[in-house]
Amino acid sequence: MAEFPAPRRDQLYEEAVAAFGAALTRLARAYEADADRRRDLLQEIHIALWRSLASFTGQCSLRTWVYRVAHNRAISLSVRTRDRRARLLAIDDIEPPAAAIDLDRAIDEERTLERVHAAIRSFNPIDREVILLYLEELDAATIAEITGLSAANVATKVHRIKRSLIERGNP
Amino acid sequence: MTIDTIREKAEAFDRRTRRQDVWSIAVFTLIIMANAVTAAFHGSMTDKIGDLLTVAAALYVLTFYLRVREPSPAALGETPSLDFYRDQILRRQAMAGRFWKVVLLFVPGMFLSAFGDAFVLPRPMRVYVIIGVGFAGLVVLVEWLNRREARRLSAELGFLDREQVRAKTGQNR
Repeated sequence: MAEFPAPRRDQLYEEAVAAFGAALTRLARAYEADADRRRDLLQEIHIALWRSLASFTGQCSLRTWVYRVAHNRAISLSVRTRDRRARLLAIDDIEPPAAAIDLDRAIDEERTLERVHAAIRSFNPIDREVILLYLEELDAATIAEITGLSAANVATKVHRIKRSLIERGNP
Repeated sequence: MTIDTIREKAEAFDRRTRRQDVWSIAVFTLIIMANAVTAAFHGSMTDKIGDLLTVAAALYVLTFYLRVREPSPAALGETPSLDFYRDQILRRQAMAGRFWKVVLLFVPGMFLSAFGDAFVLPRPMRVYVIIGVGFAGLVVLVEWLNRREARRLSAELGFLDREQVRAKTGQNR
């Protein structure tokens, strides 16, 4: 496949980082609880993005490309490195806790966010990706394009994941 | 991180990958050539068979290594996540227990090359029994490890297959 010359690739990369850099940082935080591993993941994503942009020919939007690269890189790392004993959960498998956490007491926004991320990390990679893209305010059609799911399936998943998060005591 | 840092790290990564490829291919080529030369010009018939079995094992491992390499940078952006995740699981499944299978592949050839001549001499029956039982035990252990890993990966693949059916049909749960 023909590759872009380096200056064009640099320009695309800068465009992508300007538009989606903050989203990539949020994505890394949602995938990795540990600060060092999160920093490594973010770096891996940026490197993968820069390398991939040599082949970007506008076959999809830059946004779709960036999110695919980021999630696919995170997925490949998690498949390779995750603890084999850890079982990733499908939404149907998740039981609500016996006593839901009192939301009134969850006044610390940072802690609440971390709790949401911890819950999201326990999902299987596809459910995790769907809810993270939803939280980035992408519509169902775009999420479908990035993930390969149907838009209807995305909508159903978002609904179920939101309900699961609420049942587990996350707003 | 600046773009210069990213570019530098990406180029270093590409150099490292290329170097690993060159080294791996060189090592296997050396194994193949050394055994092929030995099989052609030296040793008894048992030695030759052992060397040729080692050549076959090395060829298989080399082609397998080339087949299951990491996805290209372009694939990360071109492939929808559901397909990409499935490919990763399939790749993992192909790799599962592969180390032990590779070890097993080399055992007969190396065994024949090293002990072939001694082995064909008449020996007490219990020597043959011990060797046979040892090899069978190794095979059973490897198979058990492989099946355990395969079960775990199959569960994940089953989940992804159901997701793909839903994606194609637009069917919801």
